[in-house]
Amino acid sequence: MSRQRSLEKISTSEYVTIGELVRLTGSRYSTLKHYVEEGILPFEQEEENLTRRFKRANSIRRIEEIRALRLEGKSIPEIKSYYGV
Amino acid sequence: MRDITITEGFAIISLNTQDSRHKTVAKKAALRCIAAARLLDSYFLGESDLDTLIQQLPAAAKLSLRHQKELEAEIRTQLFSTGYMEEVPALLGCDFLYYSAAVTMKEYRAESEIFLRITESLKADILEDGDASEETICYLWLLRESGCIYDIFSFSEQETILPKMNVLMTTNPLAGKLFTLPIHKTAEQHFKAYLQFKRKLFHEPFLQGVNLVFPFLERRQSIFIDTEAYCENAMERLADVLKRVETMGHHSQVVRTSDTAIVKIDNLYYELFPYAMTGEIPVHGVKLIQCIPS
Repeated sequence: MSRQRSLEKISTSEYVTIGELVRLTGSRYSTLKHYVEEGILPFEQEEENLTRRFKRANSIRRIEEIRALRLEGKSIPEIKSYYGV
Repeated sequence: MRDITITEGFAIISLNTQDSRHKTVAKKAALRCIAAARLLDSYFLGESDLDTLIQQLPAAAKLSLRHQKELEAEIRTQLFSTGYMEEVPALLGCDFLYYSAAVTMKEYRAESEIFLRITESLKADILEDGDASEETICYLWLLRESGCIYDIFSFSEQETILPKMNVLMTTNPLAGKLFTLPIHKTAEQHFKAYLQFKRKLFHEPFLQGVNLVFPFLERRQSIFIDTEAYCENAMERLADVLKRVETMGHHSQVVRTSDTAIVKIDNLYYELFPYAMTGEIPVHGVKLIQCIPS
């Protein structure tokens, strides 16, 4: 059982959890989960039921890109085809 | 942005939309749990061990009204100075009965970004696969004991959380001690028949377990806003309601307009239903009922 990592620590960590991505980006958990389920936010998971890990820098960049595309009026299916999912 | 303590984070959640001028049952419950949160922060700083913490926590339930007032003043100063909270006209002041009687009420409003970061990271930590952190364990206990858990988690999310809490009780010593330590007051139970029905949904047959005593404290409120003109359709009604709400100094954001409209006002979500109050003259308007969108 672990303590929550500080913002300083997660800002420099290679991998983060979805909860830490929420803290870093201010996105809603349900939004990020939706992106994960749609396959547009990649993650790594050693086994089922273990914590999903996200590459911090890539994931933040991807979330910002998706936000920009949504602001342009793109739907999730369009964003999925943009990323080739 | 900096890391916030459990005391600050929990105060931001629990005091949001609470009456800032008067003692209310919900606010007293929140303040007792804020006092408990301070003890938890001391524990995490290494200032006490687990056994000492568990011995000290029930004292938080016995916090006197004078100490509650002092605590509220202290936490209010702290959160106002950091910009995490402010005092605004109460949303209930928009209700027809209060508005027409020119009753002014004030409430606390949490800064929306910090409120979202705290609540959403908490949801992510407990709803996702994998272990939850010890801070999340503390938040869940505090939210349960203050009755705030129903403001944050939807019914389906609560169904996901309950078995996880029961597992945490067996795998984490802190959870094992906290989740079986009630500091809420049984005198604050409302709607007992309703509670009995809800409690059955959360019966855990295998472990002594965690009952999400649901809801021992009703924090939710419904608000009736009269529409000043006859509105022919839902969009006009929505616009009229939002105009009233924003005139009174609240931040609103339309979340959904299909089926029943859902609006976010001051960090909380409300479903809007057309409604009429009957009296000598019927008054038409919209009822806002707090909800948690899925």
